[in-house]
Amino acid sequence: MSAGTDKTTTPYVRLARARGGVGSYASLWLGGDHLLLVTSSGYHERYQRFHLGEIKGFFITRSRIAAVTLLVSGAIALTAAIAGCVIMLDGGMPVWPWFVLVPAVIFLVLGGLFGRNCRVHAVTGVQTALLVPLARRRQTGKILERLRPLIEEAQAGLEAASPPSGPPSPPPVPLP
Amino acid sequence: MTTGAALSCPKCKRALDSSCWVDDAGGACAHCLRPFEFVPFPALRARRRVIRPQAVAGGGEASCFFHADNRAESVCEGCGRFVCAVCSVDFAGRPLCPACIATKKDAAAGVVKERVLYDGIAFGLALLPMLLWPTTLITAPAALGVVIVGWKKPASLVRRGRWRLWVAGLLAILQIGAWVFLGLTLFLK
Repeated sequence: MSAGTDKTTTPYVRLARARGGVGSYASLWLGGDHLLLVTSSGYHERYQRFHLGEIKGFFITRSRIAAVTLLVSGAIALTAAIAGCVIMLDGGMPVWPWFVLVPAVIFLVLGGLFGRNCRVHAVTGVQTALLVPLARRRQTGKILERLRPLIEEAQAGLEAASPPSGPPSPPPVPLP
Repeated sequence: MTTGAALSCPKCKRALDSSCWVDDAGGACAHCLRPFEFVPFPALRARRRVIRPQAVAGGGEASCFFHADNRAESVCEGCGRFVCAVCSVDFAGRPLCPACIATKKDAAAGVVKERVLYDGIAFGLALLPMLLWPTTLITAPAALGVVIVGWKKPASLVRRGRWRLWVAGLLAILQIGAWVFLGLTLFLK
């Protein structure tokens, strides 16, 4: 593949922007018949494919990372603000509280806007894989709504097993 | 057969039995107590496709290249061999035999597992050492080498364009030019 042909041979549409920790980040892309999870370090990429016809479903669980970030950074910001006020009332110049307050407020805003509040796992016949880029509940809902018709279309020809064997129904509640 | 009971908790990996489900849309794991939502798709309830090869009935029928007793049901698009239902594997949208899958696995774009990003390496080699400029005496030729080596290599599956290679090449040439100029100036003095 030469450099000139790459523009025409990239059949992927980005679903979710890159997200991750130190050293690597992951993004989610939609191909013709599969989802592509790309984990990159900037110098090397790993690809994980989930064929639309094989996706059994998505688990969505809550994550407390955003809430913890908000709580911790909020507490630090509040402490710094109070300390700053006390120093000002004493007639001093609140220098160090500013150095604490500003990063804490930045973390507070970033945590509130972009922090992870859900985890999404894709379930196929052979794996249950965490989709790292799907981190916000609202964003996940939008992406799943976009994927739903594509997945249902890809799985239109599948025969249902008999008897139906989806998630088992809850057990009967015993009468008192 | 795929059943809901075969699903396992994404947190603790233990099987989710019927007591874990409130309804089709979710529940909570009985072991780790983690609540979950589940968005199901038809594949969850699908019957697994069972492939049964047919035996060769008469002398006029073609048999599978790998199983002489099985009737050929398709032709491998990689090598043209007749293959039975067991040996015909839908691979990246094409029916291939196991031998072709083994040989084409690394080359087919649809099954690439990983790629080295030469543009990212070259860009990093050309840009980052400028913070400690004397190191560019070594890193600039290295960056240019990576640009040359990486030019014909396949790029990322998802990134469009190769502007990083262009910029890295340009920066590396400028840095090498600057070192040559510096060396000549010092030599002439």
